[in-house]
Amino acid sequence: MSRILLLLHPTVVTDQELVGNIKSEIASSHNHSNEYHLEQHIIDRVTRGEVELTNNTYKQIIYVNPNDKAYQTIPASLMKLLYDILIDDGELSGDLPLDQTLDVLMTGFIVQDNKWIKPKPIEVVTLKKKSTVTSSTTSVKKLPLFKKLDNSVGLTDTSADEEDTEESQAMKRKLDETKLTYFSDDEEDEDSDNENILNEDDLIQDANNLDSSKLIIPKKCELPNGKRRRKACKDCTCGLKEIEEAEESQQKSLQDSILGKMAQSATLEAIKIEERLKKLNAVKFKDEDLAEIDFTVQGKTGGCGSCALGDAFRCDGCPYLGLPPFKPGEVITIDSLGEDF
Amino acid sequence: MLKYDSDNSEVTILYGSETGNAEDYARFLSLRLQYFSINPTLSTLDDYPIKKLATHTRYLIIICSTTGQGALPRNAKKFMKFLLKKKLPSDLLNHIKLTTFGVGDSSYSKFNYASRKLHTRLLQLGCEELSPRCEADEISPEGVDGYYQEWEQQLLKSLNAHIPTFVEIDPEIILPPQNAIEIVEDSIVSDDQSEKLSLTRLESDPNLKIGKIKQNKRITATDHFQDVRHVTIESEDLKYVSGDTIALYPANDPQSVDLLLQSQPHWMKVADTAINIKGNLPALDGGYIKSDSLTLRSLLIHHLDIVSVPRRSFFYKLWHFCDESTEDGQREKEKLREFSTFEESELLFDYANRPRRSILETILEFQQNLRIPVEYIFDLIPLIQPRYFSIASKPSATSVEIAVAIVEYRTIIRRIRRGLCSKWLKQLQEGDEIIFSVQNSNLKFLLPGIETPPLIMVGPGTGIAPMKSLIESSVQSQDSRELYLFTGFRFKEKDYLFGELWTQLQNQNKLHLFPSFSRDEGTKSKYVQDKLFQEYELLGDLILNKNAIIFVCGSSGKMPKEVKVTFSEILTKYKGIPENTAQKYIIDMEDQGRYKEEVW
Repeated sequence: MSRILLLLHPTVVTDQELVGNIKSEIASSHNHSNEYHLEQHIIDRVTRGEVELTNNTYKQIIYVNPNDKAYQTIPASLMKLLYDILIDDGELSGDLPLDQTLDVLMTGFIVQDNKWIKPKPIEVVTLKKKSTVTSSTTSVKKLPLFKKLDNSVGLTDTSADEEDTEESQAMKRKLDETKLTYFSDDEEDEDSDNENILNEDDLIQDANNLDSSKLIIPKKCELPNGKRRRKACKDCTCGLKEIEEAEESQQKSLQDSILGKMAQSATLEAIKIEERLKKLNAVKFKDEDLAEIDFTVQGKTGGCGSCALGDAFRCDGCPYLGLPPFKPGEVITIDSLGEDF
Repeated sequence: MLKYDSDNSEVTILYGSETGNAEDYARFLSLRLQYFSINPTLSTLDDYPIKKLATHTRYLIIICSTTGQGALPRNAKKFMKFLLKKKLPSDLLNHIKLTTFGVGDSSYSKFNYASRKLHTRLLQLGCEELSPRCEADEISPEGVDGYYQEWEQQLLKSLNAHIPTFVEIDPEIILPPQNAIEIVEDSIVSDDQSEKLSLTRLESDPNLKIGKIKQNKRITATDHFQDVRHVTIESEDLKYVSGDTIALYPANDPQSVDLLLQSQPHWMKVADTAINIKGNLPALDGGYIKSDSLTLRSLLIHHLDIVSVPRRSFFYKLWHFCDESTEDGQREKEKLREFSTFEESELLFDYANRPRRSILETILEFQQNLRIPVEYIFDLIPLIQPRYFSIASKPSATSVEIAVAIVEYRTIIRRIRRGLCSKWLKQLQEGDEIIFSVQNSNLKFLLPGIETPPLIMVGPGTGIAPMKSLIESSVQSQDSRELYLFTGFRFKEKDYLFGELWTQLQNQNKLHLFPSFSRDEGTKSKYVQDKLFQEYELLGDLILNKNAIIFVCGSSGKMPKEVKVTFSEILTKYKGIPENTAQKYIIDMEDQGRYKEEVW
């Protein structure tokens, strides 16, 4: 008999008709009512863990949520839970979110015809892995690389064979619980006495026992593009820092000359305009009006045509480096080239 | 309930970071793993609920930097303290596979000590190695990047072998956000005064205090290039001693936030609508502002560091949001993507790090084709971290002082660079209310059996701050401690911090004062280390015969290193102690707590 789980959004619980329709739909797809067993739960209670559901139980889960698409998001933790309670080849259908495909795949589902299917495991690799892991644990234990602490007592009996029997599972649970007691922070004060605390610096002595052959060394000593490393060290003494500083000040004087030219041409233009306006007896320009200048002066795009695009695209030594991007031909304000926000 | 929150892979990335470097590698790795169908938990070492090592961690990846004297970063100390408990059994963590990545600088004698200590202790507690560990060296030709790539490659190989669901995902796909921002429709939040809003953080972090600015005074000459502020904050029930620090929680200025909002018009439209942030928020020293006042605008003002320099992990996400339907867009997307690759780390360095370009400027420069979905903002922009300052006043329950150098400088970028905290602090007015917290450093200036050993203080620049606290406290309690102050500035008349106070105490025979001024004409000792060496007889005697404690404070880099070398040279000159023995003596002093450094 296949078990079917009906997951209801709280908003549909009151809608007897809708729920009734769904149930009769399920009934009509089966020949006899004894072919399946139907359960129903409110999704919120499942999410909050108030309902205990058993893993590998359901052939089918139907999610009923008639709300807007925007509110159909299924949290990753719930997705995982639903995955777990399905049997292999079991499917999740109903009002599923469409924009969470990635989460769905990452949970392990296969998406097919708007259904999420829990695939059969291809091979049982995990168990095998586990056994190799435990054997390596024991081998490490037999040959301790590190100075054991005088009072360090293990929790596990490493001599015992670790098979995945029910008994050993129970032992493991017990062990986990015992482990947890070491993590409680109630006894914080009592423990912070120096007597109960190792000296941090002694660890450096112990660290000499670390296997230095198992330390990552980068492959090449040069940059992949063969260039010199341009970044000066924090306490640079080789002169790179001075070179960088010289480059910076050179850049500033380049900028100064550009901005100077711009201001100059702006002033000239402004004077012309003002003279024209004077003739027309118009209002005089105030200083801030002069801030708007035409950037379409000579040299605006530069030889390579990338100057206008901003620093990310400018060449080494471009006179515009350090100035904001601009659109060729566009009138911009000196304010946008400003010194400050 | 809890068990459904767990992730199927149980991969945990923890980092300890002082400057944000190690943090960025951790963030980058977290993203990378997501593109291999692994959804790791990412946290600082200290914010990770330690119990989860037992319940939620099978694969542990630690990325940690080392600070000054071989110490763990501030946000890794609590974790280490737990590991150091003697009673922990040797198989406590035998369910965990471990790898570590240390970020260090081999010009320091205690190179990568932090990650080495963590790794050693975790193996003692039963962890197995997942893949080889790595000690990256910042000053090596291949840089930390070179080490990281090699280490990551080995790690991925190993995870692939252990985790059955390890599958590579097309890098073009935009992964769902970790902390999605959700707009709560039709709920405009009134534009509260933003200063008041920061005070609501009090509710989420019990360590916070409300303080009132009593004074925010420039204490360098107005014609001096640097603005240094002496800030006094009034509060109540304060508990601190000399050597402690306070944390400030600065905010962005509203104009910069406005610029950013304008560059993304679809953000502007919802800027003052209430928002929710989904998922578990990362732990944050200083907490978050009250959730019912949370809008895009207030989030950007109070919590997201839009003026920080964009890191690789930022570009790793950003390029996905560039519309490539036009030629311009295609070119820009390509460029942003380049910035996220190791092959072009030079390019990123020249574009972002070297000129100290901000996230704000980067987004503005690419705004034509960038459309960043609102859901992703919290994931994309890093959180504003608190700033720490040494306390400059003697212990008091009602007030606390600091001395802060305002950070303003130019790079190749025309616009002036201003530190986020500097900009915020500079505009604080008398009477303004701010939140802050006191952080105990546990620096002790006594020795077994000796209550008040002589104190040799080396504090150039704003490194003078904790010295002021120590001196004022000692003078007030009349504890007859001998105080020797070596301090250094540029000009006696311009930036000699608290100069009058020192001269006055010297005249009252309460302080032995040795200032040096690097730019004054005819100066005989430019830097503190010159002055120290001149006084080798006095200092040699104090160190070797009188059990003096040395305390060095100031900006990191050359000064602390040269001062240490100078002290060892002093011992050699004073007593003919061979160089090696003298160096060893200084290292022993560190271990005995007789040589302390507080550098930033």
